[in-house]
Amino acid sequence: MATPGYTVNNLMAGAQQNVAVTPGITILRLNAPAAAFKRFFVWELDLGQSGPPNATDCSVQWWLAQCSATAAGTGSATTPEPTGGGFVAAANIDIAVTVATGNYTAEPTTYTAGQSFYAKAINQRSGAFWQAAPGGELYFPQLASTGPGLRCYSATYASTALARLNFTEI
Amino acid sequence: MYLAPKGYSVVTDALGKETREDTAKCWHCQHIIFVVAGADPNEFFCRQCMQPICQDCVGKPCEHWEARLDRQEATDRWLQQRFAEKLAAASNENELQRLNAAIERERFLHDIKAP
Repeated sequence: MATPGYTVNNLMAGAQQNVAVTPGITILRLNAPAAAFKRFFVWELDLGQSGPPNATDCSVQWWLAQCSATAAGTGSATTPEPTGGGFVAAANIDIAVTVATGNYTAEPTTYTAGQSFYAKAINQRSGAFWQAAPGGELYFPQLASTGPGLRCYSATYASTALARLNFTEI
Repeated sequence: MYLAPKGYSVVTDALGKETREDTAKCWHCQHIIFVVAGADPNEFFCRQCMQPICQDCVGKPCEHWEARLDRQEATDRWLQQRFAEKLAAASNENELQRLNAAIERERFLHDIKAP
């Protein structure tokens, strides 16, 4: 059974953007709001390429890294949905305070490469999944400006990507 | 010492073949470590907090991730107090953005000075 929490993916708002060469594009980003913030932890990642594969076989690199809001970029605000079984399609009252943004058209510029939490290179026809065991979740501070950004890039693959992040607030 | 995996990773290729790996978490920087079968689990291990760490954190002082979270949040509270009057007096969006950039610069300088 899934941990009670929230799930967010980049089909929930905005238009998917094409994967670009390094430094790539930000698919999803989480950060605490300006007020009434909470710590949160990420416990599941699911990611893959959703567009037609390139004729030249190639890899796509994914990484989840700390991102600050100095130049926050432009993305689509996304409302995470609860995973704990309490989801009501209309008038949902289990609402995350954590801000989720997806499908960036202008990149947030201040990624901290030294604080990279997940890094994986996969084939363009592959998908990747990671789930934390209890105690292995990735914790993030209750800072309005800082949070994890899930980014992907490829030298060759140039179509869309799809990613899902599951997280819980504490 | 036996270290229980703290997660698992699955990569599925185009033919449906799954590559499964156990993962651990570095307790200093929270980097996900993909466990190599047969590797010595004590190769990268902090003898102070008795937790697995990643290769990049070897030889660095022990700072548990939770302590780092506390420090980041304390820095943020200090910065918010320091800039509170200016933020309240900001009259337009540009000024607010400029102040937020100044806060981020201060945070960056504070972070690199910290041990």
